[in-house]
Order: sequence, then C-alpha cells, then structure tokens
Amino acid sequence: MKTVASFITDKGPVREKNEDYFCVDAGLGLYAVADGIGGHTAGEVASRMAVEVIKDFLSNEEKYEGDKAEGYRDDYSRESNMVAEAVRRANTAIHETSKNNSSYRGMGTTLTAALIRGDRLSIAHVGDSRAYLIRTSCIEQITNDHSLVAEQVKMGLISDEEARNSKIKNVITRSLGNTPHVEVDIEEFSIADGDRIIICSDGITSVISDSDILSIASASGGPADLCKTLVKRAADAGCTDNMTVVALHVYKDVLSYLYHFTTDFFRS
Amino acid sequence: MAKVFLKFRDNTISEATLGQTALTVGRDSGNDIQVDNPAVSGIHARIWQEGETIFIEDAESTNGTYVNGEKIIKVALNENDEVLIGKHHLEIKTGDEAQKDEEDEPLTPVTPSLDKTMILDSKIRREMTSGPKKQKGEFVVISGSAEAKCYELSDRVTTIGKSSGSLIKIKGLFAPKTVALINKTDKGYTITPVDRKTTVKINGVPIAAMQIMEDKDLVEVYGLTLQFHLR
Repeated sequence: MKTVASFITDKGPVREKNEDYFCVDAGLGLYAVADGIGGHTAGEVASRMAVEVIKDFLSNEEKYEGDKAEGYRDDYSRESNMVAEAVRRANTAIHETSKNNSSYRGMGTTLTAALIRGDRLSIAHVGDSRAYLIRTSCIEQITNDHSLVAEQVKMGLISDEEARNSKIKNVITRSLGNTPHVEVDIEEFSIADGDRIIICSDGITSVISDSDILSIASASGGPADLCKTLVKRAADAGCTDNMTVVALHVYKDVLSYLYHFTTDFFRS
Repeated sequence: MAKVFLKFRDNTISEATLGQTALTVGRDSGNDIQVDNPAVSGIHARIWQEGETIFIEDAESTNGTYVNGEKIIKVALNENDEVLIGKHHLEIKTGDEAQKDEEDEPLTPVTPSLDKTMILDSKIRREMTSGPKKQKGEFVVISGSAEAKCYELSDRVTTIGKSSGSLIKIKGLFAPKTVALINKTDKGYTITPVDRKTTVKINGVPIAAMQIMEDKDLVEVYGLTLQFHLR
C-alpha cells in the first residue's frame, strides 16, 4: 500500500503555546498525535517526549523481543504489540522525568499512534485524541475516547450531542506520564485502496462532529487540503484549544494514486 | 404436562402448555406463543405433542426455524435441544421438570427497595460503569453463498463487500465494493451501511444509518444472511 500524508498543527486563536505534537514518518510508517497537559512548559515537554520515545523505539525495531516481551498479547499482531510497547516506554520516560524534576511535576499527554505495515494498520492509544477511518462514504471512529463524557455516554447517561456540549468534556480518564503504568488500547485492521485516516487532537473534535468531518473530507482535494480545511473550520467554530491534524490517504498502487490525485485536484 | 418456555437471552418471556393440538409461534397476536420481533414471521412455527414425542414444524417462515443450529422443516425434539426463532429461544420441559420448576419458584420476588440509601459494592460499580464485558463478535452464515461458515470479527473495522480487502465477500456483477462497515467500539459492534440504496437489513428491517448490533441479530446483505453472535 502507498500512502500520502499531510499535517497541520496550530496553537489556535486563544492559547499562547502549542502543547500538541505530532509525527508523520513515511519511512517508519508511523503517524501520531499527542496533546500535552501541564503548566508552564510541561505540556509541551510531555507531548514531544511521547512522540520522540516512540519514534526512537520503532527506529530500532530489530531490538524488539516480540512475544518474549513483557505485556505481549497473543490476540494482536507483532506490529500492534510493538507500537503498544513503544507507548508504554514513553509513559515510563515521561513519568520518571516528572518525578525527578519539580518543574515538570504532574505533566502528561494523550497519544494516538498509527503504524502501517503492508496492508495492516495498528493503533496504540491513550486519552482523547481520536483516529478516524473514512472508507467509501462512511466515517468510523477507530479509537475509544478515554474521557469522563465517553464513559457517561457508554453508561447511557448522556447523548453524543450532550457529550460534545458538556462542560467537563476536557476531563480525561487515562493519560501518558501520570502513573507508573498505563493501559494502552490496541486496535488493528486491514487498510484498503482509497481509505483516508485522520488523527487529530480534541481541539478539532470538540467543535466538529463526525458527520461534518466526513463531508469536509469528501469535498477536499487531498490530505493537505483536508488538514487546512479542518483547522480553519474548527477555528471558525470557536475552538479555543490547540489544533493538530494528521491526514493520510491510502492507495493500492501508483495508478490508483494518479487517479485519485487527478480527481482530487479538479475537486479543489 | 410438558411446557414450552419462550426465552430471550436468559429471561423467560412466556410459557405455554403442550398438547395434541399444535401451539403456534409467531409475531401476530393470535399466536399461542407471541414473539415480538421483526425477524419472526406472522405464524413462524408449530409445536405439538404426540404421545411422548414433541414435534416442531416450520410454518414456511421467512427467516427459518433452527434446531441445534440446523434449519429444519419438521423434526422431533429431544430434551435440551436448542430451538431458535429469530433472536428468541424455545425451551421444552417435560412433565416432571416443569412441575419442579414451579415448586422452586419463590412466592414473593426479592427485589431491593430503592427508597433506602444503598452502598454500591465497588465490584458491582465497576461492572456498571465499565459497561458490557469485552466480548468477541462473529458472524455465522445462515444462508447464501460465502467463503466461510463463520467470520470472527476481531479487527477494529471489518468490511462487507465485493472488494478484495473485504472479510465478508459479496458476489454478483452489480454488487458494490463496500456494502457495510462493522466497527468494534467500546459500546458494542456497530454496523454502518454505505448508502441507502444497498439494502442492509437487520432482523428484516432495512437500515439507513449506523446501528449497534445485538446478539443473535440477523443481517441480510445481497442474498447473504448472517447471524451476529457475541461470546
């Protein structure tokens, strides 16, 4: 499978700093978004550390012990286990740093990382930065939010709509760096020609609904245009948070890429 | 006297006493055993006793009557046979057992009073707030031509369609590349039809938007009937 990726990160109209961080690395097949939490510079440090530790771990793939590694889950592929292990290492690194350095105390970050190998996609995820799959004309959220409102929705206490307007929607129930150990969600599936994958921080999803993301993606000309439009629409909708989008398009071969590139070009 | 119990999951919904005259099972209100589910035909099946033997016959229902997973026309039932009608089960109990069950039943149902302040056991609280336990879903092919008898839904997203990447392949010249997507979310397995034209039916009802699938739901797509199972 071939992928074409793009990204945008923007501190937004209100915040002074951008605590989001991301990774687009076609060589590794790694695409990630992290949304840092913590005062002063701590949030920035946590999100950057998370992404860098994961990148570093995956760059030295040959050192990964596979099924001999602690926490290896037989019900998932080696690649999925590897990216989950990378996220656990990032957790340890952030936690240790925050413990040993008073100015970083209490820092943490969300992390959503997608690894593409062949036609399989693995996701390791902690927090409320989301990943979406757009296939044909359907949008599917492919991560479960680790947030208080998501738990309330699951329990049937509030609707999706109420969750988006909730005052406590920023409360997350899991993050990297705040505890010595973290439970990492793993998701995996096969990607197909024409798929679009979007990973974004909650600055985007707190103001734009899934169906709006779908219509923006359907009307967009390629990943770069999609990132630009999503950030612009989120800012117009009154987003006060940092906004980060990583978007990728999947093609089965060069011919399919040329076909989509041409049709996207004329659409934009 | 033998009895028939209509069950949904583990709950008994109704019961009827068997005799020489056939009891009818179906969606219409005139049936001896009424099953309120769109997957069930108006009159779906008949069940009766001849001497010691209990028979069940499918009344040419749309979605069929299944005994121990096999579609039947008419069979004699043995004790502990699993009868499936739509999403409901029929359980047969012979005289002694049926009698015993009645005796066992407590006279007054014990339900906790909700007026009093209660302390929620932390284990129960965890179960309540963590929602349904993580279960794996699978599709069992009920009818139509498919490449497998059973499809395990272990991936986050699974496709039903004609394209090569689809787990569940649909045949036919005009079949679309993608018919529906299955998403394994923390709220359960959802099914999303790609468009309104490609009719995806659940329990006989066409769906136009995403829907959460429940255990034993019947999914119909392009001549393929699949039953969703959670285990």
